[in-house]
Amino acid sequence: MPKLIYLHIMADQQDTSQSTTSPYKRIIPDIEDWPIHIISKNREQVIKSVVEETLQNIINKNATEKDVHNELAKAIYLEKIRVERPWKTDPPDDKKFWTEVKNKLVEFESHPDGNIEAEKEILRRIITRYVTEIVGNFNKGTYQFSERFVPFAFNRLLNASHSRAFVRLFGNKKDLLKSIHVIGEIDQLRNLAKDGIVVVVPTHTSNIDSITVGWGISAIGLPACFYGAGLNLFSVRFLAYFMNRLGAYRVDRRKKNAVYLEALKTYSTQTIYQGGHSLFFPGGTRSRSNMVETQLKLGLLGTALEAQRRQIINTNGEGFKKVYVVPVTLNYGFVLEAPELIDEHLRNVGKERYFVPSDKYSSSYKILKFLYRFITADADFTIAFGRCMDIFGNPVDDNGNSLDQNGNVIDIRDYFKSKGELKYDTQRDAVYTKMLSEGIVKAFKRNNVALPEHVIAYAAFKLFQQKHHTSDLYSVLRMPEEFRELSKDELREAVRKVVKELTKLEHKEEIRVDPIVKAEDTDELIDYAVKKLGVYHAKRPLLKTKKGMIKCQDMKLLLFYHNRLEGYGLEKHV
Amino acid sequence: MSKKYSVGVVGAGSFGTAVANLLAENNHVYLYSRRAENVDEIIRSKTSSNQKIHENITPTNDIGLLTRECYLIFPIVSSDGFKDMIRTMAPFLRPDHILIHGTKGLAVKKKGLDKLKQRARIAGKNVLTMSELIRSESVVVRVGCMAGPNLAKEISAGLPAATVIASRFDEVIHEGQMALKSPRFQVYGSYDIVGVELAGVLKNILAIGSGIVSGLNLGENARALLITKGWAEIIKLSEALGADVKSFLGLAGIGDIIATCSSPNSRNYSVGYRLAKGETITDIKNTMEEVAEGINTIRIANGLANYYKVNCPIIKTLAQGIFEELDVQAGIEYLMKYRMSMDVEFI
Repeated sequence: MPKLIYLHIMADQQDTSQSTTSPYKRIIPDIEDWPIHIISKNREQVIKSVVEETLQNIINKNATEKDVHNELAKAIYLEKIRVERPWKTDPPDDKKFWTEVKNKLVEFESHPDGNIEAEKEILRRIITRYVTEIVGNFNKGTYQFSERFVPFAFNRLLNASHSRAFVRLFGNKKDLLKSIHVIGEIDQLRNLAKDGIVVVVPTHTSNIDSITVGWGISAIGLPACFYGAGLNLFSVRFLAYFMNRLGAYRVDRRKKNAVYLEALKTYSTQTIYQGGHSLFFPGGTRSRSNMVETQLKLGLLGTALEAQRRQIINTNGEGFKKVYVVPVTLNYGFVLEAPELIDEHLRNVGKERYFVPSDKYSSSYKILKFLYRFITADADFTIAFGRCMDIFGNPVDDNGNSLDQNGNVIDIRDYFKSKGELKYDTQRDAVYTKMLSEGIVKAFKRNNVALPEHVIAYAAFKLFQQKHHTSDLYSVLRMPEEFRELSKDELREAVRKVVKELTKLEHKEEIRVDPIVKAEDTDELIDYAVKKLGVYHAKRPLLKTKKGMIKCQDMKLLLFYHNRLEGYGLEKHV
Repeated sequence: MSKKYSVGVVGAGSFGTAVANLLAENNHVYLYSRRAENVDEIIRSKTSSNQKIHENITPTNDIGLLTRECYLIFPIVSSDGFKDMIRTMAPFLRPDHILIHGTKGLAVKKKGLDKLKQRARIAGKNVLTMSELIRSESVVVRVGCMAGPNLAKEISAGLPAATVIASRFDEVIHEGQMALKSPRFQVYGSYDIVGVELAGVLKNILAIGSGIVSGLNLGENARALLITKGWAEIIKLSEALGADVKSFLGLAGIGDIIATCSSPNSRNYSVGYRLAKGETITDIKNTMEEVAEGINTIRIANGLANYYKVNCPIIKTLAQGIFEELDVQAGIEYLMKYRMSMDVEFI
């Protein structure tokens, strides 16, 4: 059984000679030797290379000139719709640009022939605009500053919150983020990242995921990653300043046209192929329901496969670099945007196609407040690194060998061969990507950490459902306040059963369970979890009444936190 | 032009031999049999499972040789022996092998077997199709299945027929088509491997039922009733398992039903016929040369129906008739008295 490492990050461990406040030393000591630093040195060159390849890919993927034209026209049409509802991050000349290219296209359309070269030029202009927007940067100085500043800032904020006074900002030293656990297969990851290429794929529930997982990667001594971050995070000026310089690249979910997606994928493929460790959220967007993702977006995942294929084919299978996929499950006992997320989830169940993403939580003030609340809430929070897998979802051993069911080593070059020869097959690669996504989904579930907050929310919500078993979910959610109370006895009984079952599942390596869930006696666990569950929400998911009952102020929030433990068959045991 | 490789067939039963003969029209074929003496006998008599073998076929007992020489392999052994077979092959298999199986049975995980025997209940996660078994026991990913109205006797007699090859991979479908197709054999493709597998497997239930109808001389109206309503049960059950039921209308579903439910050449049909004539299931099993997959399938399907609470009176009655020795007449009475609902309420 793999060793579980609990890494409690302590303030006292702050040591500037190390990468962060963690006991792990950097696997590559000098930032200048980091792949991200080397690849990002010449941003202009990167942009040029991505633009040319994207253009070529689009031309290759469309059989005729007419198809290229249609793809272009469609992209412009969709962009014209998008610019009608601009976000703050959009460049001010967006509308002008798209009107201009539209007019150009119309102009060429009126010519009877000979417009393909001109259309290619329009396409190149659009791609250049996209790529320039997407491609990030990496600045050594900013990185060094931020890696000292971030824990420092976290630390001061935390101390301030503990003493409830900013005046004591530089006062007593308390544990920094004492409730953050970084757990999992860290040694294996550190080992494989030295020679291989690592693609980190975390679950996604909160806007602060980007920051926390970035911090987690630095804490375990890995070099910074190329980082696919949602555009809304760039709208916070102070965050954007850092992200623009720390290898983050922009992913704009509103742009669904083929030209944009091709540009994004080409950039990702090139960086991974060149050995840049990468990170993106394969769920695509935050999990509205708070359930661990079961469906992943295949676009960016496919770029990891494509990069591995190129590595193998371009080296003719000799001396290639191996791509390792690292599933990471992030868990929070408190998600500030939970009320909006669960609302959106309930509204959009079954009609996700009509969901229009908003840029809520994108003002600097809101995000800062958010961060502050998250940190000061002192809620439980874990980053669980799963075992590395290869690009086909096979587990790998500590030396990076892919293993089959029986522990035999697999030669992954064979996956790209047909009748003994390395061969390109896009349909086959698409199936492989699907296989990888299935592997990641399973790993997410296995590495999910049952926090005390989840356990209590799960037990309580299931009890409410049982009491009103004739009602559907929506009726349960609208239950009048006087029915939303549980006695401590019944809750204790239910929690006990859930914990017992979770322990069994953990034994079978189907989930991870937070030590507090197992260690405390049930009453203490309930007290602890009720106190912490969604502590900063205006309406509390669970609250202790004066009469000693446990009351729910907001059923939807309770559902949200409960959802994290859905899909394990626990309901049979409550 | 790239080198032409041999094609392998694992299992020299009647269907395996028929497929090997089909393949031999376009390729050199290695036909594997587990028993060395069987291989010797095939070489000596140039006959396998009562079929003359094509001159392009080389019988072999060497699985290492077969997996080395062939990228495309057709495992065609009974579901009982499938796991052992794939475990024997596994050490020699690589991710660039293509396996297209032709087995119309299901495997049960050890965990589910006890519950199935004791309580006639089994969860879908404890039942594996053969493609799932290949994936779980070997490193092979390019998996496909072949199913359709393919009675071995007719194929070996050179009569025209068609089959469907289902796989998630274009490459598998394409390679299967190239290897198999001939002026007398059409090969269709499908991406819905689970649907095609389930259709091919579950139709055997109705083949046994149809044999009973014949054995009891219940007439063609009764046969049509059994097949139509039985198929509706099977579709409902497959939907509960999460399968796409489109494939049930294709060659592997309707196509195979029409062939097996009316032909005495079908093994499963003859099981039903002999049951109706008063033989016990143990006697029938003991005297059959090859396994009739339907017997086991009825038990599993009944277990699944019980687990998912899908109303399947025909499957249930067949299961009781075979495993609990329910009197045939009582079974028919039960079914004829069954409360009727709307005709087509599925799909």
